[in-house]
Amino acid sequence: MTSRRAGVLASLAVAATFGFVGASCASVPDVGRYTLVGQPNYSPQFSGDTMGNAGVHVFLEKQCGTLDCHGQAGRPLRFYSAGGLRALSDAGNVSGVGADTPDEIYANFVSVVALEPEEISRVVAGQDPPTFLLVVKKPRGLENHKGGVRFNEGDVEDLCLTSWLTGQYDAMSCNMAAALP
Amino acid sequence: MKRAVLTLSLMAATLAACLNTNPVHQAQVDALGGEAPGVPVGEFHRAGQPCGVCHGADGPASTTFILAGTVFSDPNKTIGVSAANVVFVDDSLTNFTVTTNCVGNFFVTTNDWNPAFPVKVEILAGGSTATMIGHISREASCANCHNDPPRATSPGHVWIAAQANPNDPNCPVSPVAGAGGP
Repeated sequence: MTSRRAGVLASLAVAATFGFVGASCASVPDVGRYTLVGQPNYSPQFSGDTMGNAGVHVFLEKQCGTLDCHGQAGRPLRFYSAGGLRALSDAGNVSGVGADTPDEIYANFVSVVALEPEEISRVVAGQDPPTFLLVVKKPRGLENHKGGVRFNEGDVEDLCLTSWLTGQYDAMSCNMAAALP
Repeated sequence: MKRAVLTLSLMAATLAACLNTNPVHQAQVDALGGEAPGVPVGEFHRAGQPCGVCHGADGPASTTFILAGTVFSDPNKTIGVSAANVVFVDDSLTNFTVTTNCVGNFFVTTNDWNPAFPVKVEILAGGSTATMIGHISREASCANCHNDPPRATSPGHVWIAAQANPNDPNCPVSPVAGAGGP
């Protein structure tokens, strides 16, 4: 490469860099802007109620939230539970002691929704099937999952989860899933 | 110059692959420290430590455990329970039972059993029963989850309310974890 040509290329690179930086800094971020996430029902469908409906969270915590799987703080899908990982709090809750706290149940809900917020919005809106979500694909074995196949299509866990995601909550399936050992 | 750097990099990568180095796994092994004084390498060593770190696919132990751990007699003390029965039930409802030795250690090798996870577990000793609340999803070492102190991320070491003799004359090493030889 001649020195003249190298000089032209270097000048172009510098100009492109300044142009990029300038464009990036040109507009002031809109502090009022937010991303609306369509989400499935939290209470009572996810959190359960006092009338005997377990809610989606119970089977997710029992089957998925063990300390050697999704009961670990570093995972994108992370579940707190009384029998597994406890959320840090002033109460100093210990794994294996007591009951789920409301904050832990809500944090589990957020973890599910925030795993793929744009996709869950589309599922909730009926634009995509629930099998587009990792939280369904992986336990069904449709995508590589270290935990293997955790349930098959039509199992009570699957019916509980997918019915909740699609707004057709199946309380009976969720209660049956919650009762699984 | 660039070619030399590239060549050296490729040689270093090849050497690392040949040595089978895994710095993450090695750090886990190193974190366990050395053997307790007077305790030989074998079934009585490292009570309470996560057995699968060394007895796993990445070594360095020669035997691979699918499930292993230690049973203690008290939530606040690490005295091993001898002759406790650890009963596993896997996802296909197959049972497997193993008995602890005098320091509370037990282990199931991959030749002994190949369970379908998740696995439920119950300990029976001296008329007492301790049933695990949840299940073992895939972890080989009890102590990977059950370690001290009890806190948000761990229920503490595995224990059952049963008699344990910290001065067992029939045990070649002390049943007190970390105490060393007899």
